[in-house]
Amino acid sequence: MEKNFKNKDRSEKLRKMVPISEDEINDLNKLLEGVDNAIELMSTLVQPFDQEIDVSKMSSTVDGENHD
Amino acid sequence: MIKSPNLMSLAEQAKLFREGKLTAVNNVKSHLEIINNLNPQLNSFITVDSKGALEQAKNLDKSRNNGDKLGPLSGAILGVKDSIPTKDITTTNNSRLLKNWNPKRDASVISRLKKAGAIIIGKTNLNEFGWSRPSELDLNPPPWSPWNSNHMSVGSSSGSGAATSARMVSASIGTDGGGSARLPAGANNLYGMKPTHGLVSRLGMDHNGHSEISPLSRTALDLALLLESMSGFEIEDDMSWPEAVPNYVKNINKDISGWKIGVPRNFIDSAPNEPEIINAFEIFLNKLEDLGCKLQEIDLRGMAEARAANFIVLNSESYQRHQKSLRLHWKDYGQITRVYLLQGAFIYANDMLNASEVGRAFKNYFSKLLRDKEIKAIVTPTSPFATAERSRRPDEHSKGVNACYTAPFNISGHPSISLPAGFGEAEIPIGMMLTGEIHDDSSLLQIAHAYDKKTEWSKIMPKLVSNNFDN
Repeated sequence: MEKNFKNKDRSEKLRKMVPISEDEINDLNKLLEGVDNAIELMSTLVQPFDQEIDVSKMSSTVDGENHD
Repeated sequence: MIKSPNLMSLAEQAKLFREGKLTAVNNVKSHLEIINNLNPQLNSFITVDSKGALEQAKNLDKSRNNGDKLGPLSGAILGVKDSIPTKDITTTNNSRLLKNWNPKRDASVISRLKKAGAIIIGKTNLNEFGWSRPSELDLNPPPWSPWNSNHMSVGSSSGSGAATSARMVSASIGTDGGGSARLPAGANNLYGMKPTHGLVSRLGMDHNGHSEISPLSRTALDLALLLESMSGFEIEDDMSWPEAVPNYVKNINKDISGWKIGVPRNFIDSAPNEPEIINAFEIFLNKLEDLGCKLQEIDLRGMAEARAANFIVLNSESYQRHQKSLRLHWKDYGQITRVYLLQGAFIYANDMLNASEVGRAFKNYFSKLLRDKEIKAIVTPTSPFATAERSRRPDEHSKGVNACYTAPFNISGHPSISLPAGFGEAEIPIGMMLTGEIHDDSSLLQIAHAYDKKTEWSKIMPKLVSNNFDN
């Protein structure tokens, strides 16, 4: 539901920007799943003001999982 | 009788030129002949500047005959990725948008290479703007691998890799924003190096912070020669390193026995490596031990997060550069590239700053890991995949898995080098990668040179190419 809303919102923005086709919008939405995943992976790392990112507690795998 | 100069390394060609045993004009003609034979099939070049190269060569021959001081690359023939601006040679970026663009000046790296005596013979093929993926819809069709012309050449410095292994040039210059020079080096039986961030200035190019100008060559010594000539401070470039360039060539024969190399087994085992990659990796580890290196397993963290951060920064910077042109010249972009470029329109300033913070944290973590464990470098495969087609499968490509070993060290700025390490089932070469401490590019070159001297990879050339020579 949230994803559909996000894609609709993005599609409207795109149509205002450039003469993009519906097929291209669909292709872009698939690519943007990779962008969303990257943003989500990073946003979990952001720390409160008085703390720093601790990379030694980050993921150990190519998929961003932690197998400790 | 002197063998064809195309069969020699860049260092050998430059030595013969200095000794008066090879003229620059003959070297250019010999390379033009191979380009004429192979480029129609391989598409390695977008522009071949025969006239300009011969003119540079005539001037060099004249200088040598006059007894003038010669640069370390004098007489060498270079191909340059067509995203790097070159004065008087069209710089298309493989895009219709720039099909007639003649830059008013050379990028600073080109000026440095010319000053060192290199001859620029032409501009090599790439994915449009070094981005997206290979497409028949680009201005020029993608290059094919000289090792197996049923396969595409790995990119985005795909033409640079193919032209160098096909002996169309002495060496080539690419760019590497997430692996775009190390990956084609690996897939072409070449040495390819992404230098420490800031060592080679991007002055005269677009502001793409973590994409480093990177040499690709057939030997490790050639890589050192190129890097030493390409590096140096540029006051107009706020990312340029304001220190003297180390003597990479003079110090390349250092004894590396006893050096510790980190092996991040936990991370490598989690990647979807093809079986031939793992086989080559184990052989490569044995070779490092034969050279006297000590292997030490390490627990490497944060590679996925660093790759994600690099992906966000690359997307943001690419969109920033193209936002106006996309609106004004939508139809001039390739249909695939314009969609890829639009990803950055949906990344917010906060995401970009988060990416920078994660990149900075990973940089400090990785440097500390090397220091604490007293490790000279870590070793990984260059790519988990053995062919360009496999690395472009949509499910893995959208996650950037093909760059899982390379991209983290773009955002971190650490130097990283791909070395030749065998062949896969499709007879496409496989690369292995060493990554070391910031501004310790020397140690990587020294390991690569020791490895090069003890292996035969740099003598192997594609059958398609060897058919063009008698000897």
